[in-house]
Amino acid sequence: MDDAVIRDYIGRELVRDPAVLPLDNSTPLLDSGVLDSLSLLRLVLFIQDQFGIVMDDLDVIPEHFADVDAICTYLRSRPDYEAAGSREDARA
Amino acid sequence: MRVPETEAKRESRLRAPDAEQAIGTAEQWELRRGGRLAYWGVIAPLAARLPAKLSYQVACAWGDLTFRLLPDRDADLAHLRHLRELLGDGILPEDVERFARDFWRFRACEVMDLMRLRGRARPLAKLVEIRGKEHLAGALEQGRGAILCSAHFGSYLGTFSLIHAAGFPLTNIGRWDWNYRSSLSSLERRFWDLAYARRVLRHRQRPNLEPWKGRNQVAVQAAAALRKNEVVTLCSDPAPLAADRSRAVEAPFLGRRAMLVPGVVTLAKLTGAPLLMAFAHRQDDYRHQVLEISPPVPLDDDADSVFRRCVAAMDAAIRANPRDWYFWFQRDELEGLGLLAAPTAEGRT
Repeated sequence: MDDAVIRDYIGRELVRDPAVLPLDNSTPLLDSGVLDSLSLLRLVLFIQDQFGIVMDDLDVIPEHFADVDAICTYLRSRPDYEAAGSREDARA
Repeated sequence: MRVPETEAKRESRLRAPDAEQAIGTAEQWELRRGGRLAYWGVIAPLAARLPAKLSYQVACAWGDLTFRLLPDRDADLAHLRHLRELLGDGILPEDVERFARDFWRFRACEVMDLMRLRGRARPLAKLVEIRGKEHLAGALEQGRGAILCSAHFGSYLGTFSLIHAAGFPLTNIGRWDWNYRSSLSSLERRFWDLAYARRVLRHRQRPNLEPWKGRNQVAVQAAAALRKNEVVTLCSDPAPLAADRSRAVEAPFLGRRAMLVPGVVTLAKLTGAPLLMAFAHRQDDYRHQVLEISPPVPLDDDADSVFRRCVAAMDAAIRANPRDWYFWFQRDELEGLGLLAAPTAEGRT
């Protein structure tokens, strides 16, 4: 579910070249130019808001943002991570 | 407007700037290179210990010498005649040579400024009047940091150091260009690290955030600094790199429609940090300067419109003090911005 939320956000808000759509979980985000410096910041702010975490800038390394799978793996490794669904449940 | 060849050339210059040496002999360029090393390594550090008036007289003499020994001086003077077209009636053709001489004097004085950053930067601080510091202090009261938008204009590295020395933790987004020049030896890079970067970084909160292809974390790092209520500075006047071209915005600039990247506004909008304009200009005595910090730029409009207001502020600063702008002698930057026609197959236009 988290991967769908992230993939949907990237596809909707960050992709400038429609040729890369539709995205899948292994579409390279950095190498293909989908994410540049400012769109990566947008994505980080979205993830912080969506999953209730505060990301240190030292965590923003290419390995964590190479593709959607890598982002999800990184998120699940964090102790303060809340899945998108559980966070929405809590809000409700 | 911009042409792809110009951009490719600019990036190739950054990677292999020896391409610049197409004009002038190899001996002329070696002399110039040796001269720069001598000035930065020996002459300026020693002269900076003298009383300010003498220090800057030495700098002006060095600027005059640099101007006289320019390998491509005639071509540069011919190119500078475009100034009149760019600036309207701001400069007359007969003033071009004087303008060019002053340009090189200013560049030599900026080196002297950096040499006077020793200690708590008092030797430079007593020569610089900072106007609008209260705007910066007020912006930081919101707790979201502050962004100072400037241009490659005046002694921006030296005067921004004074802001840090005055108690506002400051970090710069910008590249040390010697790290991107494949033609430089590691020894030369080390020299510039010691002679240049070390002096500036003494008055920075953290090392420069250096944007480049594949270095995607720069905006996140800047946001982290802002979150700690620090000041982040950025020059918004360079021609966009290839990777940033699709984000560039067309804006009126020096009488033309230039292409510039509105990243500074996007960063401000994403982080909520107030955005202020800051420009330092040198007085006619060469040693005194004024750094002016504006009130926060209203961010309630769309990003492109806000950025055009920032470009208008840069335009006004350059028109008011044209000798302070770095890019007059960088034809590839002017071409990249769309201010100067790119060279054709038959030669430069």
